[in-house]
Amino acid sequence: MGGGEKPKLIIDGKRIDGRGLDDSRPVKIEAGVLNEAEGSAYVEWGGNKVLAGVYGPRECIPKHDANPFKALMKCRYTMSPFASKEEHSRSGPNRRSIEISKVIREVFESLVITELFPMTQIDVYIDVLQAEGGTRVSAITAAAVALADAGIPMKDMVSGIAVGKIDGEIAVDLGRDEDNFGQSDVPMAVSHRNKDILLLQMDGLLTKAEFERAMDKAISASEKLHALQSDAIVRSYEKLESEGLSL
Amino acid sequence: MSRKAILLTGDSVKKIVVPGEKISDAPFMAETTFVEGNKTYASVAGMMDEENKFVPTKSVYSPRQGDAVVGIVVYIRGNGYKVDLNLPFEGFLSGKDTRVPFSMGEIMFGKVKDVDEIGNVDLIDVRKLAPGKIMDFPAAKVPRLIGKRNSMLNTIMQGTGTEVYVGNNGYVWLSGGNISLALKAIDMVNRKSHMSGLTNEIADFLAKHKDE
Repeated sequence: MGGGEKPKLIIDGKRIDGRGLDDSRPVKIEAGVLNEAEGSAYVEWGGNKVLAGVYGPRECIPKHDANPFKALMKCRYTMSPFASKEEHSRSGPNRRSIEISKVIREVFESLVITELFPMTQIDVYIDVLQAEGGTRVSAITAAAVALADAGIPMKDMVSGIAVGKIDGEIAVDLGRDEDNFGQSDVPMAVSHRNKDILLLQMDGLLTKAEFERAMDKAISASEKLHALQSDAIVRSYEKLESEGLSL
Repeated sequence: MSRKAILLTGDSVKKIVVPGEKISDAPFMAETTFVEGNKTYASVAGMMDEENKFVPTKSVYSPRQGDAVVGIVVYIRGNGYKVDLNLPFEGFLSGKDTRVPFSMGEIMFGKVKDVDEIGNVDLIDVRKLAPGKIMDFPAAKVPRLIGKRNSMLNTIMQGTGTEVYVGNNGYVWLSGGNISLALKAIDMVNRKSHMSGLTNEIADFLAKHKDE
């Protein structure tokens, strides 16, 4: 992974790409980008490019998995073969993407009001077209907008954000090199209204004090992301208004 | 970045609401809202109308007793018909509830007789529709397509001479007249559903393109 010597991650208080410690990479979100999906979103987050499409609620397949009390959330995260410098060979599910699919599914299981749609399933498909560190949080951010675009009832919006420790400092939104050579990486998903932590993973080590600082930084960064997500939903109405005949 | 939560649409201002946003300090239940701590929140994207009432613009259709629906017969059973209603599951029309025989692919306009706890729909009061064009319309915007006291629908039907049936399930059946113009008008309703004064705009649009 990554390879080569560890570069200096912080020089004069600036990170490799010139950001300050609390700055995220530039994020661009667009809702309603796919015609055939019931809801969709596209997120460009630094060098990450993530596309999410939502279908459902629809008939549960296989049928014996159907739950008569609620809908089943299903999530598939995949990385394209051309997504990053490392080899991803075929784009089907692998050990890494199955794990990420699971944690993303669990984020939305606690947000979507599944009790309204018994015996059905709701599918969230997430394709990472280009990766530059932090794809799972980009994926969660995209999927939340896609679900809102599909009109699937949710208790809250959620945004993903990674925090971590590089060269002894707590930094927000780690890029690829910071992820590979940093000391710790903590991807989180934070719901907007109640600030519930719906995803928390950690690579590397943090002290308790560092972790608490990281958490605060993640929560304040998630505020900005929520504003961008809301803006994407608002813009999707303007886009719909200006588009031509879509029949 | 400041959030542009307000769209300037013609003569009135409507605020767009995202899922999880508070819409009222008083608790009330609706299909697209939920109550937490005695306050009401939106569960889907929508907007606040002139009377500060929440109007969902994106939502999944859940059938209710008495809903008018357009359906397509997809399977014939000994005791009735399985009907595609644009739902996760096919609806059922019992042979006892209809005198008209249907064959595969025929279109019907009917009412929801009953919905059970897992969402299975039984139909009643069905009427056969002639072969026509079926289109899929976002179910959340169906009230807009019908309009107050059918105003929007009447405008479209008069302006184009097309016969239109709209189901709450989002299926729209069209036949006769200037169908392509009617489709354009319906698409316009879909795209501009969040704007006010739309019925007049559609009437103007239809008058202008009458001879196309």
